[in-house]
Amino acid sequence: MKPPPFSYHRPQSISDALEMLATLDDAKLLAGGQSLMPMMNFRYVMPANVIDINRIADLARIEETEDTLVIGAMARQRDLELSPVVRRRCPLLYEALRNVGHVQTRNRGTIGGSLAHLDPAAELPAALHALDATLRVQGKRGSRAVAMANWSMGFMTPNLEPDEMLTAVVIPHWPKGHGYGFAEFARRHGDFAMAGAAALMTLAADGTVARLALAATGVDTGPVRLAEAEDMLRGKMPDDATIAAAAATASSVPGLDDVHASKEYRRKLAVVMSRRALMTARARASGKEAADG
Amino acid sequence: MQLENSFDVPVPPADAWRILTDVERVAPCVPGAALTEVIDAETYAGRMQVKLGPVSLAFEGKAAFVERDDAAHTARLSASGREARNRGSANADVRFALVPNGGGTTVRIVTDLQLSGPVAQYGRSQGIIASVSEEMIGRFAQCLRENILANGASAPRPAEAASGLSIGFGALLRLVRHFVARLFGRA
Amino acid sequence: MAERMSILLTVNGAEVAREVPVRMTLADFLRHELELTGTHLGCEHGVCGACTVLVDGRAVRSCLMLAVQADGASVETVEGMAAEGGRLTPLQQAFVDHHGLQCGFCTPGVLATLRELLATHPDPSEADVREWLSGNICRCTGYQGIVDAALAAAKALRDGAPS
Repeated sequence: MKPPPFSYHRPQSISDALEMLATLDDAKLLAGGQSLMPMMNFRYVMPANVIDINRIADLARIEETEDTLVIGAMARQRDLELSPVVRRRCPLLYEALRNVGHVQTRNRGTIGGSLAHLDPAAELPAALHALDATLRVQGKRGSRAVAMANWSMGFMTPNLEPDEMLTAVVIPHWPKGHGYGFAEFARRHGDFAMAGAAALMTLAADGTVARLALAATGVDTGPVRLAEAEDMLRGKMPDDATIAAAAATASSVPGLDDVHASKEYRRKLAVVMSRRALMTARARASGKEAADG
Repeated sequence: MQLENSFDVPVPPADAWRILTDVERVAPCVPGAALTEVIDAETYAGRMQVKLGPVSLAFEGKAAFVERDDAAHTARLSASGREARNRGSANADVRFALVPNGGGTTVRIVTDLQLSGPVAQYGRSQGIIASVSEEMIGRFAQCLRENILANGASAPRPAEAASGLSIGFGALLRLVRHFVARLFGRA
Repeated sequence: MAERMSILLTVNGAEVAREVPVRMTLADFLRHELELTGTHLGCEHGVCGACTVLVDGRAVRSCLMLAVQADGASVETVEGMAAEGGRLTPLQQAFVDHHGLQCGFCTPGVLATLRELLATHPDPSEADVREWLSGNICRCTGYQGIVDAALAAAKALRDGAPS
């Protein structure tokens, strides 16, 4: 239960880190360590080189622009949870964060780490998928932007070349007063979701759904957008029956079979969590739920 | 666990059978595989690298045809390997069947995969192993179609099979295509 | 580059300089290098909380940090909580008074967690306390004694008890 030997590197800047990624063989970036260290302790992952990016100040900024929230990849989950800017502009992220591990893991864990690790049952990738976030990726050869929709290339495989690193997450704002909801089912608070859903909603003046995003976690190798449910609800009155019918389409997700839950159970959970997330989003979108204190 | 996969090739079953049972010829198309020894007419030794997300596994072992029906185009392969860094072992019982599909062939594969040791814990889910094997078989089929079946010439052995180490699936596919195309002078 | 590295950090208020293997976890550093065995190892993958210590005031899993990452940091373990002359902190005293421990294995990690809670939430609700404790597994107490102790300590601190 101890990590095997490796060479340790501590870059002080993004360019140092990129240089290391480009030249070192068999290297892993060490961010918050809450996913990598367990794997190293178990010896599932045995990199020859560990690049500790915790000292790169440039990577931890939270910046609010007129249209977006730009969050550095090394921003600690706990700092995001406590950030008034995040709470105000992106409350879905706040709500998702409350379900990520425990305070002690959020004190070290980072938003970038969660995205780069891409556990199928992680909360943040699903929330960011619903938010249509764009990820900034940098390599020695240059930088590029990856839409969340194109981030997952398969099981725990993000759209990152070996010499690239995620540097920031760009989240476009939803209008003030938008509805949001995050629901997940796990055996214990803080566990990875067996299935979870993230919903965002705005209503038009006539009460119909103007804008909707719904994403699920724990039901496929990566986060999924529930486009069928979204299509069903857009332009309609989000009454209980319509929401339930839209949520029911979540049963078409692939599901995952493991010791915690069967494929079928996860599909069922996806439906229930979708419905709950949508109901909460609706309540908030129509102002029926008091703002969180 | 049971895995079921299939893929199509644009040649009739008899031709497909001949090529697929020529292990030395098709081995370079298996992502992450390296044939190290032909032990006898039915038995092969080799290495297999598989990437399950951030975990790179390297298996070393043997595969042997335990059943083979050249007329019916069915076969059964028994493979076993130990993980190079003491993370466990894998045993696979693989049944192949080729059936005609229009002018081509559908290759059906049913694998009974047993993992033991730490590798069995990791991967955490049948769904993940199934999706990784689906991806691998897809790439195998693509490689077959583009190279071995396309020009019918025997495929030269590449220096090393694309191992997928620390490369995303999409990038790996591009790499395999480029690499094998280069072999055929088409890069 | 390095297989071993020199680090300089503060542990329980005292400066510590050591050369350590880069792969040594902070938990093992505290326990083996510094012989501060109050910090325990339960799972070594971040889920049980027995290894929780404070690094720069934040409760973290010391089994998931490398010792070299604590270079330049201020670390507090259970051994550092008692005041001069062994006077227990209000939190520790509350544990005694409210049966917040039985075997004591989870206790140092629980104390570290609650220390951050009380430092940042002078008047936590029971729900807050339970939320914070959800990252520390206790097999003995059923948590009630721990919760009572935490709330009592919060009150004592609000009433002016020296922390």
